[in-house]
Amino acid sequence: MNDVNERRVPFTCTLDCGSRCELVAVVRNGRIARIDTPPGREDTVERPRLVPCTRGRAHRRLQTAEDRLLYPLKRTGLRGSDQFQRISWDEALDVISSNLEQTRANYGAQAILHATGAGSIAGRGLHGAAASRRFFSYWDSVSATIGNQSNHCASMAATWMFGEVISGSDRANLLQSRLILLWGMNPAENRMGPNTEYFIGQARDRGARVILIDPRYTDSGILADEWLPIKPGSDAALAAAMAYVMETENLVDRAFMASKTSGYAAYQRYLLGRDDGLAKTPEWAAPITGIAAERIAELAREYASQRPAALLAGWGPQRTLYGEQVMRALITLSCMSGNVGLPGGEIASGGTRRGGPPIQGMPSGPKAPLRSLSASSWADEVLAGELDPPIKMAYIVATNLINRSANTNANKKALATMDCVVVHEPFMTPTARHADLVLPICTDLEHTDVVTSWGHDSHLFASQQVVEQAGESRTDYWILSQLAQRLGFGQAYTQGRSEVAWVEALVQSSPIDRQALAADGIWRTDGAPRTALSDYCADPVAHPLGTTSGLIEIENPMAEQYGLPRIPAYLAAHAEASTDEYPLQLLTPHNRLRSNSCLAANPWLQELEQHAVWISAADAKARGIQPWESIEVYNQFGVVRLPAYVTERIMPGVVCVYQGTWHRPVEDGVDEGGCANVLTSHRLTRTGGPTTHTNWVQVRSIAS
Amino acid sequence: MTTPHFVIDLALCTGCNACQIACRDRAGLPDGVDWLSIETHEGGCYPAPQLEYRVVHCFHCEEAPCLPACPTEAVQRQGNGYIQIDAGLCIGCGACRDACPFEVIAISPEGIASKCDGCPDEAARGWDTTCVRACPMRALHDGTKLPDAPRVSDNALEDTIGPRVTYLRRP
Repeated sequence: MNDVNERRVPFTCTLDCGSRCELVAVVRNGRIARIDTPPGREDTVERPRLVPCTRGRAHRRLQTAEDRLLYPLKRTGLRGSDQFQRISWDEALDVISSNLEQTRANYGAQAILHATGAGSIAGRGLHGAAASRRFFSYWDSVSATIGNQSNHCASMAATWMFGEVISGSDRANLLQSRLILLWGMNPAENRMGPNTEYFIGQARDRGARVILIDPRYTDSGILADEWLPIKPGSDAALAAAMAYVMETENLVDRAFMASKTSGYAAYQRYLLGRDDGLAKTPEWAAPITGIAAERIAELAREYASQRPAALLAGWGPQRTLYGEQVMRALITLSCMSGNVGLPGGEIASGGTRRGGPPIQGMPSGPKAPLRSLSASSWADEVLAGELDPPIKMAYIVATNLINRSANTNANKKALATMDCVVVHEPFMTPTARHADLVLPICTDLEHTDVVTSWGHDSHLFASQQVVEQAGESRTDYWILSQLAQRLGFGQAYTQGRSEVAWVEALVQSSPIDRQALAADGIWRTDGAPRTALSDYCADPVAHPLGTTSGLIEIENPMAEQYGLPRIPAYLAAHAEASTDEYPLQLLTPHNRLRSNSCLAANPWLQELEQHAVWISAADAKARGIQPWESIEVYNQFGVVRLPAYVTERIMPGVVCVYQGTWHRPVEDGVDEGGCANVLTSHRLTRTGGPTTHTNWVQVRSIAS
Repeated sequence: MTTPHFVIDLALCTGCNACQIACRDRAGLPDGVDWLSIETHEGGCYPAPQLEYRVVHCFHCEEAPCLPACPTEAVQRQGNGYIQIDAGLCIGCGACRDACPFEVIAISPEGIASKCDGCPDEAARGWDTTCVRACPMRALHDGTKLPDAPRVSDNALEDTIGPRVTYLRRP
């Protein structure tokens, strides 16, 4: 029953959502009639479909969202006043190229900050940060935001302990697990690879026990047999106490530790309190973690005896002040239990890299940025006034910069110090509102690209242009090509190629069958599920790691250079908190209806859930707060006004505001958009990671 | 078992809303109108909260009260067992909506009643319904394909009108 007027066009999201899935746009009479999945695909536990989530399913409504940007805009009023005027592409491009040249002439190229993010990722260079990095690599060595706001500390820990960032095992391995610890991990919302949540459900039906270790009973709690609420930032203490039990009850896989790790003796000394006189017993950890000592001991015994057991570490626990210590402790615990290199076991790797599909991106030019500003705390550096040259211009691509980096109010101030701010965006985001020039970008349904899987897989997706670009919206590549032309390096940037020609050239120079990819929409790597570190564990001599010893290193002298202990000891963040004034710990996790702040403009998604502050019934009662009344969450950085979600699903002493909704300050400066980063600090971890889950707030009722 | 029949596995539903959006998208429904929705049931006390998400849509009941409630016979059972609403006959009086205990019949802004139509277009192509194919957890099934997992059926639904649905739980 194929309608002759119907086309089914494969495409995929380029979101940094935690997955990458198979999507099809059904086009009738030139319009997108619906979004679907390839319907004929078999779906078995051996070869499951890559089923898209709610975000991907809602693409059609994003396409028709009322506030799509359709024309280039120039600011006519004060920054943030929403006064803009439509201008032509020629005018916009002329103004921007002359601003780039003048800023460079007056202050040097480093006075230009190229800020990028994860608004559009995983294409092969045509869109998002990849397109603009390439642009500046041909133009000049500007300043650039750098830093990994997702899994910085996990990457640091992996580099120290494995010698490189490794990815975890394929999720299908979970079918063999007898125990799965969801340690700060929430696959029901964040996926972390397509089908992670599906395999956990299937594993449980095959007899695996699932334990959720999290300050919140997340939607992933439905997949768990037990919830162990844990105080944010205390994960390394729980790991140490479990390790203490395993060590003192002789439950450690000694053979593994002896042959595959180095430096365990130093951690042993720490656990037993040989140097500080403080044994890291369950009784020691109980008040730190909020988990009863007996339960910690039982958990240690269960984890050590149920083999294979998978420790799936989320990234929330490592976005804390001592996130490096958390990941190091969890990796060490995985090793001690011997659940490394065997199917169904899982090391707490925290990585996503699996090599990717065999295809290159567009090549870079000769010029690298000469100065880097932290993607988390760039505004601090700008506002401190010590940069030489100062940042005079910002060129912002694929990031809602003021919304997604910590301390939104400071970010706005930092942008206000600049002479010229250029933003590429499909929507009038809070960052676009503070720009001088806003350039309308088209959506995933309006461009052509090949897109790699997000992590945990090595698939390649063909993403075809489904419909005409709305209004005068254009791709990042088109805009930067036009600018490159004006600045005299158009040919070098484009090599005379259109986007479609680039995609064809990149695929042609890879082993991937172009016609099969175009017909099917996906190039899939299948085969037996891969197990992390299996080669190394089978023969560590033949397959040494990239560490000094070639072994998994529990003791890391490099850590000392950053002021961290050589071993994965627990460090308390509480000492740095103002707990009297701001007694509640704040969590700012990802939400299933957004990808960071992307999709906050999709009405279908945002109306599904009332954005609110999670507060425990106990904390609400103590403050006289009624369910769903409007309350204020505040600290030294700002104030957010939101309804109260009074719930038994969060630990007392902890509140939660999902990140990613758009900053919307009202007259008194209070944010009624509920942007979580209004409440987060620029403070970095010792190695430069974000600390978005180490913040303290107070909450008040405003009813009276 | 009579068909159609819907099987909804509560043990796996994480309330992600993918089925709801997929349904809305396929049916081309306006904002705020849904044929499939998800009820949240939250209870218990910290640290033992209870949370359950329940997918709810028209269950094409045996003794469907929407059928006799309609004054214009716009609500009709098809030969395949599905109940459909003929938009041409509907006068938008809301009687079917008011008769439905599951509150799954919507009145559109244009004043026409509509609800789950069982995806006849999908069935004609030999595909599972949109909601079944949309579930990342594979928690939704048509009644001919029961999941191979330890489950018991849930009898919470008031079934004197014979809703053609089985909710499953862990034993």
